[in-house]
Amino acid sequence: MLMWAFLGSDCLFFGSLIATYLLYRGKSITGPYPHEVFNIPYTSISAFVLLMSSLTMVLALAAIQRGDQRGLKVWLLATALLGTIFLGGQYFEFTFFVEHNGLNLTNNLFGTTFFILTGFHGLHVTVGVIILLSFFVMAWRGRVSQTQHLNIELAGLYWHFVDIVWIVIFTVVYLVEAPNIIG
Amino acid sequence: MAVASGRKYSVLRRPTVATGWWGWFVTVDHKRIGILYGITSVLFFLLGGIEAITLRLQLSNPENALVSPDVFSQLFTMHALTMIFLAIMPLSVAFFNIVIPLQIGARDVAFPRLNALSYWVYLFGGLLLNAGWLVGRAPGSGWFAYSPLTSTAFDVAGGMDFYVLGLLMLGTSSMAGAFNFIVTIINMRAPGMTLMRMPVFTWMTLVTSFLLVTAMPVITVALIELGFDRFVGTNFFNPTMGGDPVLWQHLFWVFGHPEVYILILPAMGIVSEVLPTFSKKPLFGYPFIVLSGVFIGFMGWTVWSHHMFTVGLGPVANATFAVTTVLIAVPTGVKIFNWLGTLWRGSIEFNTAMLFALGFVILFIIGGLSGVTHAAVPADAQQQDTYYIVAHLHYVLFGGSIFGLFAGIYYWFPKVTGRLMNEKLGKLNFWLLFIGMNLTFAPMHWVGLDGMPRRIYTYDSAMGWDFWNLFSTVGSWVILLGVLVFLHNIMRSLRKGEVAGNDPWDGRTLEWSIPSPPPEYNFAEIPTVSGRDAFWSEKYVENEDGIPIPIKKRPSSGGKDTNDIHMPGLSYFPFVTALGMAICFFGVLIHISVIVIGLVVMLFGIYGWAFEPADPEPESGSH
Amino acid sequence: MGAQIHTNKEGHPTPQKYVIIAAILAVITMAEVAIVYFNLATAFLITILIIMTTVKFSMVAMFFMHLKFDNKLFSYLFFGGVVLTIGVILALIAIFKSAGS
Repeated sequence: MLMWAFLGSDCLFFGSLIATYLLYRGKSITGPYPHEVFNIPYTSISAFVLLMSSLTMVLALAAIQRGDQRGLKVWLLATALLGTIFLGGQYFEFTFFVEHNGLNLTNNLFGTTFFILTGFHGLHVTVGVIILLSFFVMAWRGRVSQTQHLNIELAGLYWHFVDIVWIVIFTVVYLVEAPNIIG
Repeated sequence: MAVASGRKYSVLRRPTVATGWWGWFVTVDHKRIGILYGITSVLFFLLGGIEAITLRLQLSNPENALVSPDVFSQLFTMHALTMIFLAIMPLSVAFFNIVIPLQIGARDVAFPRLNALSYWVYLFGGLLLNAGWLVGRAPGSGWFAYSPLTSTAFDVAGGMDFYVLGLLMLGTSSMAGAFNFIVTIINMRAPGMTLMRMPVFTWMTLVTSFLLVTAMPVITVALIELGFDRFVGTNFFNPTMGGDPVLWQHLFWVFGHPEVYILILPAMGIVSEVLPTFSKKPLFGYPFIVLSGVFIGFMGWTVWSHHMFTVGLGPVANATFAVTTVLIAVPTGVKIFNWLGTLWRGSIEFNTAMLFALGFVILFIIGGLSGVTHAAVPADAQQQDTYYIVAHLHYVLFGGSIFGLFAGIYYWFPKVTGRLMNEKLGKLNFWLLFIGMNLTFAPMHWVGLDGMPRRIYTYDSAMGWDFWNLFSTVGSWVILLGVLVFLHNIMRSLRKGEVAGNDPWDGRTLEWSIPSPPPEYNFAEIPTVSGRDAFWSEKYVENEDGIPIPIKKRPSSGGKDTNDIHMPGLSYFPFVTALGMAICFFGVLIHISVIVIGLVVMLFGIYGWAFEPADPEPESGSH
Repeated sequence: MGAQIHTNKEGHPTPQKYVIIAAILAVITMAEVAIVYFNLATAFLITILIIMTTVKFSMVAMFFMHLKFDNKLFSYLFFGGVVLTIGVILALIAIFKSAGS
């Protein structure tokens, strides 16, 4: 229950960041602008990766619920791996924006609002990966028993939440710029 | 989350010593944590009071030069921040901590270590917020910190750094506590205590907790954005780059308005306990009081821009918020009528707690009336940023919240300490505060309407405000006297107050059914509840004329073996985690290496917390 | 509903069911990306995108996060936060639009 209340509360956190992004959309005084910078196909792939990590997460939970220790380890590691790939994708995307397009935190409103929103999302993902790896290590040492599936479930809830926030960000930040990109 | 296997980690051995000063660092007992909150909040209340007395001294005469304009700005900013975040809110939390588990028949809260963490983060956050005083740059841009006054261009001294960092810590503390109480109240009620049989104080705590967990994230984002603007040079509120200072105002008040309900609902809950107890009648219209509390919670989200009527949002926005603001007066009115209905034909005992509760009702009505006048946009155009608003907010927060909290102190002090507070001193305390408060703040209504703006450090004699400002200052000394009497009463009662026993007030709710002070496990046997006012119905049954007849006490059940009751173990990890967080936040002002050290300490705290065994190693012999 | 056929004896969806849901989510994502390449009127496009996003959001919450099968209180806690968030965002957008800024 604590986790659900926390996730409900975290909605307001991301909601405020998304509100700031949306309210400032189109108000940057100078470029670079979103449609100059976004690469929709690239971001779609990283969105897909995160989506699949939710699948591996729920498979990890199903494994421990039926006492399958090997399944737990495999799927936990897979989830952490996919999460790390997502983060890697974010890292490359951001460095590309900075170096290639000259977009950074301070040069205009788009850079500010975009990097803060996606940055805090990435921070949430990073914390999630650390939690998953911690559980993986515990499982490796045989310290996650079938009766303790609740802990994995809680980690899963957090992980799925981070995924659905990205589902929303992908649409309201990236996809809505697509008509401008395509022209 | 406890680890089942028996492998020992020597550094993680749970502490077993609960006595002496060390015991306070490792406690997870809600009663002790409540006492920590109580003492700390009273100390901060005194600090905020000193700031207020100084403000009033500066304003006692025109063209006064007691403090510089710069220091004056810091004084009024810190007075508000201290009173709101370090006094009223934590004092409410002190009561949540001490009273809620007792009222619902539980042995502790749902997450005792998280509870301890909330306290330590509050303490460190409060210290961080006030640290600016030590370096001559306390925050000085007003408690609502409007942009661009808070940008590094205008806040040259840099005091707002402490604002951003301190409030971020305090927000975390409040949220952690609120999550804890939501789960505790929903999950840990005694058998038979349905939601509609809970005491009203418990209900108001639940609504307040929901408000906290939904409103705090918004100010967290606002503070993060302000922090990035200040520390990194982003442009959230920078107009030259397209940013909009009004966005700060929106984000702040989306938090800020629910915040004022967070400040008042606990006090309303306390009053809803005190009035029935000392009228010897059940609360009139319980479902209405509960529902109006819930409605106030929801509707509090719909009114925030009434703080922004003079910003230029346009007629559509202004009209909408004017309507929602007038509507929110309705549930409050419902509560007031129900309180009056409780008093009607009751057999009233005018002790100190009751006087403060009655004072609350009167003063909150006055504050509410001035509030309704602000709801009219044209009227607000004259009132905004004048002393009229200062009058309103002090009537509702001092006459309202503080009076309610004082009622709670006099009411529950016997339960916590086992001793009654002195009634003579208590009544003197009450009258000094009541009279002083009215002397200080009533004149502000007309001085404000006459045009005296807020936040000015002095004024010209030609304005004609001299007399009433001096009058208000004298009033503030009466308040000071009242507070001194209060402190004396506390000190004296702790040492030689009359012994209270379990139930000094012939109370109605479960906390009065156990000894004062309660044993560590609260209830030897968890009670089964069959109605509202659970304890009253254990003591009395009503005859045909509605007169309560005492039930003959059953002989006590021979004493359940209380050695068997398993209480949560002590832990030092909440303190360690909070310390790590504090180091991290202080580090933002010092050097990145300090931030890293803080993170490492936090991680050590978190992992230690996660992996420590559920119980300390058993002593040799019996447990 | 599909849950009856695909749940194992404890009432949880089976791994196969989860893979199917993931596949549906992937298909919707591909559709979201594809649809922006069609020359649609903006209002129409935004509406369709929002619908698809909402469907994905709900499916992850209901199935992966197990909300559909859990105590209703959890749904209230979570969706309460979601509704409040959407309300605040929409109100802010409306205010900023009406202020003409």
